[in-house]
Amino acid sequence: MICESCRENLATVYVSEVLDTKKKKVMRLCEACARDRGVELPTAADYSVKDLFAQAAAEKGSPEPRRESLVCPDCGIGLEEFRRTGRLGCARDYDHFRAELLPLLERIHGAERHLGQVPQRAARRLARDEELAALQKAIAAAVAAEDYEEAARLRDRIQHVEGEG
Amino acid sequence: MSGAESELALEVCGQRVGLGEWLAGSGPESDIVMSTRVRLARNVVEFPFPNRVEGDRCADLERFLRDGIARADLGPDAPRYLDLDLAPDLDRQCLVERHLISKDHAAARGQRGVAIEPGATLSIMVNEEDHLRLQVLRSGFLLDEAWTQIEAADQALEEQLNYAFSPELGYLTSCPTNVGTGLRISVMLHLPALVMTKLIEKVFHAVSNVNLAVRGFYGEGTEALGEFYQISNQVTLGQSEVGILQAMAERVPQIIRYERNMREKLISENRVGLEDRVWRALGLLERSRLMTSQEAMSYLSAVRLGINLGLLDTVPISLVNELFILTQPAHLQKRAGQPLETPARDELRATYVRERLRAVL
Repeated sequence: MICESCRENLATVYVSEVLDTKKKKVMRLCEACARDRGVELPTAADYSVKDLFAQAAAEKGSPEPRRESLVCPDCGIGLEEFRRTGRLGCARDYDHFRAELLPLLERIHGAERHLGQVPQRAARRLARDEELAALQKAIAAAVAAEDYEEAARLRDRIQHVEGEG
Repeated sequence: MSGAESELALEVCGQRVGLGEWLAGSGPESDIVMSTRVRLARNVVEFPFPNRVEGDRCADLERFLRDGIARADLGPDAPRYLDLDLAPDLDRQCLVERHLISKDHAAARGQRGVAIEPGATLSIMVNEEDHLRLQVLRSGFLLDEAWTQIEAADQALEEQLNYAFSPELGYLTSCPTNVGTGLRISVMLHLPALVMTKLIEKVFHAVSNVNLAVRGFYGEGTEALGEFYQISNQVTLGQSEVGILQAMAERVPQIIRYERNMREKLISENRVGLEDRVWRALGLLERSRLMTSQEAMSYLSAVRLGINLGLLDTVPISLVNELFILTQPAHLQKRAGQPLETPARDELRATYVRERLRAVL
């Protein structure tokens, strides 16, 4: 989107002006043109995870009280503490607080998915975890179907995969 | 390297830390680019992030990471580990002034450290905001070399440690602003002509529109001393490492070009004015008896510009670059061997700069 005023720079600021009680005029401007019109822009110092969180929460409406008191069972950090400090407590928080984090990541990075390198050991570990989960599911299904021969085969496979790690 | 190198090595916890190749004033575009820094944020799966690890567990975590670094094949010049919990405050401040650890890492408490390679290009902070913060710092505009070096160190560490990683979100970090690649590239630029011509704000507007951030000489939340500015990428998620490197490789040369054009313009329009500024600054550095840190940065900045424009050829650029660091408060106090109040520091700073210049002029 190009700035509606100078028609040169990228528009990064949306200014909405209330014309009267009903009408609203929205302009898409670049930062320089927005400043020329007296719009006060946040500086880098104002740009923090905490603020972004507050913004995201304000737009979404008040969060469910049940999630608000959510605490990570692994590291013990609560959603409330994360909001206050802007720091997560452990890697699992990315799963536990996923619903809150994804919109925040979208705001910070404009993206929700990693596109970079994959560390080899972690990739092997993740593939193994995935395979084990699939085997556990299959073994449960085999037992339910009373196919004990298949279940025994799967059990051996699980032992083999676990042994590889 | 400087002839006074032995005097410049810093001794922390019985280990010598070199002043760093990044002050050599060598490398591509080094008339404008002081240094290229790349850093990677990494965590291991076995422990919570450092802010949730306390007491004995903190010592366990430090030992775990330290052992991992020791086992990793980090080349013939393996980094040596400094225990920052044992290091005197002044030594930690010196490491901050050398851009080898962060201010937060110096000020923190508890078991933490930094492994520094003898040439001081590679350093690995342990138990900072993330378990590991790898950094490569090089002289001039050396994106590819810095990246190759840090990538090799990262891979060597990954062979020993289980990095916290998710296929969806990448490397998992304590602060969501680093998640994904965990990669932050900062290029330190010397932009005196853009400051003098008051075009600097304009350039930064253009830069901030493409997701780059501008910071001062000592990083986040610091002011631009001596007309030095650090340009760094903001986004770490949704872009590949190569994409982030490419964006920097495209944008930074644009700023370099602006600065170079303005330098040429200043020379052609008012050569004597510029010469006066440069020689006056050198005169003050040569003769003053009291000098604040800001004054020193400002005069050294003018002399650096003069050397790079060929207005002055008696002072080696590496000396000017070194003095930017060696006239900082902690380095002066380290030299004096005791804490000094501001007036005493200003006196020692002026004396030290005079001595170093007298040796070459």
